[in-house]
Amino acid sequence: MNDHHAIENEVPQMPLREPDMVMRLSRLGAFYPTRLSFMRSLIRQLSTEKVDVRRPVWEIDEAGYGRAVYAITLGGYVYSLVAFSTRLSPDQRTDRVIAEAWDTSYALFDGVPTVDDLDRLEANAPRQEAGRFSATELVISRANKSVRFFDHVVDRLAHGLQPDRSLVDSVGYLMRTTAVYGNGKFGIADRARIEGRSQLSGSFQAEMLTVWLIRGFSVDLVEHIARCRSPEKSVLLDRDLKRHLGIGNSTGLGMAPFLVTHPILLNNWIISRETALARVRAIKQAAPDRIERVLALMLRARKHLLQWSVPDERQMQRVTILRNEWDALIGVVTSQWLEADYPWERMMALSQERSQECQELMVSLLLEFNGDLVDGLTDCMVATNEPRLVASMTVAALRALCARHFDWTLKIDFTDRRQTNQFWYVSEEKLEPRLGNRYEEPGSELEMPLDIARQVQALDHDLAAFDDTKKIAEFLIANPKHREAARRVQCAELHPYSEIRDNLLADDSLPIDMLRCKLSFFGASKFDPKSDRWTRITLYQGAPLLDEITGENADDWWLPVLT
Amino acid sequence: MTDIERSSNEIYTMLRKAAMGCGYDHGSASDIAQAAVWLCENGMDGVGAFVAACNSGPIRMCQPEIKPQEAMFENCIVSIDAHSVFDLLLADAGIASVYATNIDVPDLLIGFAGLCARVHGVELVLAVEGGDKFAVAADLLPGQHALQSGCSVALSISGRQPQQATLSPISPLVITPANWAFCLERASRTYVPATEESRAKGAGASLTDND
Repeated sequence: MNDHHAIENEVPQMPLREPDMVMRLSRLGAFYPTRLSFMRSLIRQLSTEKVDVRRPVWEIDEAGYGRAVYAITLGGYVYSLVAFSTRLSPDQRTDRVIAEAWDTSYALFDGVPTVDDLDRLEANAPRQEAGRFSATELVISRANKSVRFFDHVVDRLAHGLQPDRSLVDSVGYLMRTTAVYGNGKFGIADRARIEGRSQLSGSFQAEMLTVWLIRGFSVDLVEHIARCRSPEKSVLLDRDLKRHLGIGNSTGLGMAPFLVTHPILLNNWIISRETALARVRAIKQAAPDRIERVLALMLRARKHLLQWSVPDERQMQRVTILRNEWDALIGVVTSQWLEADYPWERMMALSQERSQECQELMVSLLLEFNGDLVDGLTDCMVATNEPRLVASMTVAALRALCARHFDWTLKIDFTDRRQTNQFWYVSEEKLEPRLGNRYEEPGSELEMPLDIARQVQALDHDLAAFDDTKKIAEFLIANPKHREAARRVQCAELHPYSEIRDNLLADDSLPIDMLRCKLSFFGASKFDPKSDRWTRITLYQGAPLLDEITGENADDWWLPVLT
Repeated sequence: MTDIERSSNEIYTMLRKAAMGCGYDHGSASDIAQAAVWLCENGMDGVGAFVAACNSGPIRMCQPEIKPQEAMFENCIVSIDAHSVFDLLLADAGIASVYATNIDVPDLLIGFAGLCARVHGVELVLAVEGGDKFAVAADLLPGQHALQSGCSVALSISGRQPQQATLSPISPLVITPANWAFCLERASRTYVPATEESRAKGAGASLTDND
């Protein structure tokens, strides 16, 4: 079930928020993780299946170097995280994609690896992009230690002490990944291999499983080194601290084009989230347990916001405003206030008078305590098709679609240099997507086709000069360069949330907003922008540990706080 | 040199970029790459067909002769004309048959037929002048059909079938090093040389990583 109308008809709901409102870059850049996020849906799946994580191989030396294997059985399939920890000199430690060595490297193996498999992976996984992999590997990844914090934790545990809580809170992870590769990269399995396995067929589920297991390894590794250093005296990490340690991640421009190159998938992510919101808003009366729950979650969110401090001025300013707005909402939303009709619709309306950060945090909150209405929508967050051209459509009909779904592109003045200032390109350096200034840097003649607004405007211009009664098949014979734009415009009719409704070439277009949108769907929190082009985030903070997946609270880690 | 193995996605990504490096617009490049991958997934040399198409000649405009019930693509250059061959068949414009003559890379035309079948849920019949007549479905190419460059083919839609998005290639696909090297070179024409300025703006830049 991938289409707009199919989702809409299932459960009573309010009208969806309009694409013109939702798909603006500034709003996408204010998204928060929700219970529909991929990490959350994976953990629910693991919890439902009561998976047991085993560690059949632990060949790690006293200094923390060697290899280990973690295995789980899910839906009748065994998946094994193969982890390698290697020495890395400080001058080699960089979070850049262009790095060539890392503290740790990983492969998610489909099945139980033999010793030969482990040896083969040991020769390739630490090399990452320079290695070659086979179709038995589903995901590859690497992570660097957060060195000072990692050493601090080892040292404290070895002395029988717990790490500094404020450091646990401010750093939040022992390691950070710099890439998680799936879908056929460097010889690993194409996504088709797992598409038929319901437990991993959702968006990025194999990648999210890999990161969750890496998090478990990072904790095991730090405790192991402490134990080896001081067998008599060392202690294990306290559970609450351990649970608050996630996995860090540095994410840059490489992630942004995905949202443009996968329009149906983007639509399905967004429409599921919007449908969930519309369902919740339609609830006439709140049950007492829900009222109690939402009030508790609002207080949790307040604590989370207080623990979210970042050096980036723009983001910190937004967080500061949000803290004040959230406090004001807490002042208004009482048990009594929630007892009147349509409490969640009224809460949403309250947020509309405030910042987009506040509005989108409200969306996340409203979804959080309504799993019965929301969780089933995760099944709609995949896409099995790409946009297809409808050659039988008339030129007039396609023009009408341009006007209906892309009127925002038709108003842009592309002769204004500010509207074309930026261009996206693939750097020859590790083939990393980058963003350049068209008027100051070389390479704009090789730009990536992410200029959807400009393409559609050009399409509309040439359509206007063509016979309205002709078919698109004939139009494209004369205008083959518009093939992709025509396909996308047609796609938007069935998939109205498929396009970011902003000009990605404009000088005020911020890639960081695209990153935050995608990362929120992963389930990332505590966005820590380092520029307008890359951010650090934390994954799985507050999530169940490897041995807690069957616990009662396995799904209760929205906006985690360290108490 | 021994053949090399690549995943479907690696081949698709590389061929799309290589096609753009050859000068095709990105919509056409995407379709050409998908047609080649369809051939690979059906046991044919899709990358070889792609390379042959890239070497076939300069890019020109597509100029079919369109009549009320049929269309003719003389001296068919598949990488340019195939898009419109199938567009016209699917256009509900009364065109029941399309004729392509003196085809430069007939295998790639079969790839386009497979892609069309998969994306649009149709079955196509290809009748080779003076030879075979065979059907192409979404994931089904019955038998091997050695079509010679320069042959002529009549194409028509013979039926509908459930739409299919992808195949499930479990094994890696095999290609020749020479063909892969060609694709790498063409793809590299789309890359922009790195500069210190661009490097300085990427993820992880300008921070110590030993924190």
